[in-house]
Amino acid sequence: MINTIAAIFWKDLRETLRDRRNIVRMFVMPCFLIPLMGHFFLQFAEKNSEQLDKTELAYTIVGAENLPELAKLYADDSSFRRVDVPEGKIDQAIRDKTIRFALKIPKDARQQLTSGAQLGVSFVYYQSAPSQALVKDRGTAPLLAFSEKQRDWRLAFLGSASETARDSLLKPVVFDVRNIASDQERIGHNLGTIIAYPLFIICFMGCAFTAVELATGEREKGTMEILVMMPVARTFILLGKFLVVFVLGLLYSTVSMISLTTWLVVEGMNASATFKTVLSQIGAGDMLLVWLMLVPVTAVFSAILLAISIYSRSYREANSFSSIANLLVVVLATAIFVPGVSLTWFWSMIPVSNVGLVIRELIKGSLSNYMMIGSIFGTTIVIGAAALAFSIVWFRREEVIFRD
Amino acid sequence: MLAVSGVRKTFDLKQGKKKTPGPLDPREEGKQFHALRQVDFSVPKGTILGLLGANGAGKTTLMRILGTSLKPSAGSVRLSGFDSVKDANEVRKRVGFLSGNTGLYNNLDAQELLRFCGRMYGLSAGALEARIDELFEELEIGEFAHRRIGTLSAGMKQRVSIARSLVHSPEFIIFDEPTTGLDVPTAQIVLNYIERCRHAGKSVIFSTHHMHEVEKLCDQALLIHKGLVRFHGTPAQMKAQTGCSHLDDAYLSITGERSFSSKAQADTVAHALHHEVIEA
Repeated sequence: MINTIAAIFWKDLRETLRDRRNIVRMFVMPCFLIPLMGHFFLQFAEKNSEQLDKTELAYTIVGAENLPELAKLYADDSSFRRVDVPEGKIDQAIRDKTIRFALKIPKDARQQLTSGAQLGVSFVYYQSAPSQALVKDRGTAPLLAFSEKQRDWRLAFLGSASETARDSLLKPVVFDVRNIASDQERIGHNLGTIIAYPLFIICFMGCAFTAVELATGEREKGTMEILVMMPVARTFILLGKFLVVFVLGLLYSTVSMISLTTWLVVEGMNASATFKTVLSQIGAGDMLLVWLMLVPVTAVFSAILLAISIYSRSYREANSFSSIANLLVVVLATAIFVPGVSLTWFWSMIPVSNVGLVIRELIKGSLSNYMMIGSIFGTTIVIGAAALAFSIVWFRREEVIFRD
Repeated sequence: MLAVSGVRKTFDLKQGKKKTPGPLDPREEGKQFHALRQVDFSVPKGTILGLLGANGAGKTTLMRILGTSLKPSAGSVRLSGFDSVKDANEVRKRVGFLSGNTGLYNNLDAQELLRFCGRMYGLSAGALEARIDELFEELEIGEFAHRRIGTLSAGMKQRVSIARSLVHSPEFIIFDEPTTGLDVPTAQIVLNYIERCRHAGKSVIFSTHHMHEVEKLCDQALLIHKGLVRFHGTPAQMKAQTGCSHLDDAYLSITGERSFSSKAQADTVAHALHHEVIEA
C-alpha cells in the first residue's frame, strides 16, 4: 500500500514540478508579486493620506457677514481657500469637489451669542469613506477654536476666572482611561487579521492548480485510463494524489509566508518605533506556530479541491467549481474582519475562519486556550475525511474516467 | 484463454445529447445507448485476433471491458479463469492495454514512465530494469529513452506507449488501432512486435481499419457492427463466406453498408477504398 501511494506521489510530484508554469506560480507570485503589491499599496495609502492632510481645502461660507470674526479665522488659515457658491448649489459643489465643505452661519448669530444662547452653525461636507473624515477634522478646527473662545468668555462673565475653576466646572469628574492591551496586542490584532487572508488565498490557489491538473487534467490527457487499469486500489491512487496536492499547497503557503515575513521586516525598518517593537516581539516560535496552523487549512483545501476536480468533467467545469469554493473561502477568511468575531469554541469549528483567528491570536501573542487548536484539527480531520471519502466513492464510477 | 460470453454494455444518454442525430440507431433506446448488444467469442492462447468494425461500432468499448476499465452491463469476461469484475486486479496483471485515447505523462521520460508502471505492477527492481532494457531494444526506444515524452514525435510516443502497456509482460495484449497515424517504419516495428508475441505464446487483440494488417498477421478476425458480432473466424473464412477475393469487400458485404449490383463493382470500390486507406 505504502509503495503504491509513494510511487503515485513521486510520479505526480515530478510531473507537476517539471511544469514551468507551476514553478512560476509557486515562486514568482508569492516572492515578488505579493511584496511588490503590498509595498505599492502602502506607499499609495500613505501618499494619499499625506496629500489629503496638506491639500488646500476649498470652502464657502454662507452668512459670513453675520459673524465676521469666525469668517476671519478661516480666511487667515492658508490651508483654506474660499470660493463663492450660491446657497442652493452647495451640495452639488461639494459632490463635484469644487469645494470640500461649507459653513452656514445664521442671520441672528450675533444676537444669539450676545444673549448667551447656544449658536448653531452648519458644517456641510461629504464622507463615504473613513479617510474622508480628515476634511471634517480640518474644516471644523477653526470652528472649535472659536467655540472654545466663546466658552471661556462666558465662563469669565459668570465669574469663573481661574483656569482650575473653569476645568472643575466643565469636567466635574475626570477619568483616567488606561488600555491594558500591549502594543503587540493592539497592532498585532490588525496585523494578524491582514496576514491570514493572503496566506489563505495563495494556499487555496496552490492547491487548486495542482488538484485540477492531477485529476481533471489526467482525465483530459488520457493518462487516468493508464492508472485505473493497473492492479492497484483506486483509494491508493487518490491518496497519492491528495498527498501531492497537500504538499505543494503547503509549499506554496510556506514560500508565501517567508516572503510575507521578509517583506514585513523590510517594510518595518521604515515604520514607527511602536511597529518596530511589535515586530521584534513576534518570535520565530510564533511564526512557526502560524505555519503549523496552515497545515490543517491546506489539508481541507486539498481534500475539497481534489473532490471538485474528480467530480468535474473538464478543466472548465473544474475551474468554475473551484471559483465557487474560492468565494466561500473568501467569505470565511473575511469573517475574522467582522467586529466581535473572536476565537470561541463555535468559531474554532468553522473552517478557515478558525485558523485565521488563531493566527491573529498568535501574532497578538494572546493565545491562551490551546485546546482550541485541538478543536481546529478535529474539524479539519472531519471535513478532510468527508471530502476524501466523496472523492473515493466518486472515483470508483467508470464515468469518472470516461465522462464523455 | 479469453472467454467473452453474452457481454452487453449500456450507457445512459445525457438529455439533449443523443448519440445519433437523424435516423435512429438501433442501439438507442429512450435515454439509453446499447453500445454492445450481445458479444460472445473466445481467444485461445497464442492467437492474434483482428478486431474490425466502423468507427462507433463498439470496438473500443469492448476493448475497455477486456482491459477492465469498463464493467459489462451483462455477461462475463474471463481471462485464464479470472472474472474481469470479481477478480479485476488478477485480470489487470495479465492484460496489457493500449488505446488510441491513452495519453502519456509529458514531463517524464520513457525510462521514468516504465519504472513507475513497473512499480505499480509490483515488479522487483532487478526484474524491472531488465524488462525495461528488453523493451527498449525490441521497440528501438534506447536513443530517446531519456528525453521528456512531451518532446517526442508521434511515432516515438506510440512506441513508448506500447512499452508502457507491456512492461509487466502480460499474457494477453489489447491494442486499439496501434498503427494509426504512424509512419511506415514505425508501423512496421509495431507489427513485427505483434508477430513476435504469437511466437512467445501471448494472445493479442488489436483493432484496425487496415485490412492488409489483418490478412498479414491475424489468425482470427472478429467483426463488430452496431454492437453485435457479425463475423468471427479466420480471414480466409471471411472471404469464403462472402465470396469476395479481398477482405475489404468481405467487410462491406458483411456489414451491408454498401450494396453492389455485381462482384466486379464491389471489387472496384474495395480496391479504391484500399488505396484511400493506404494514402491516408
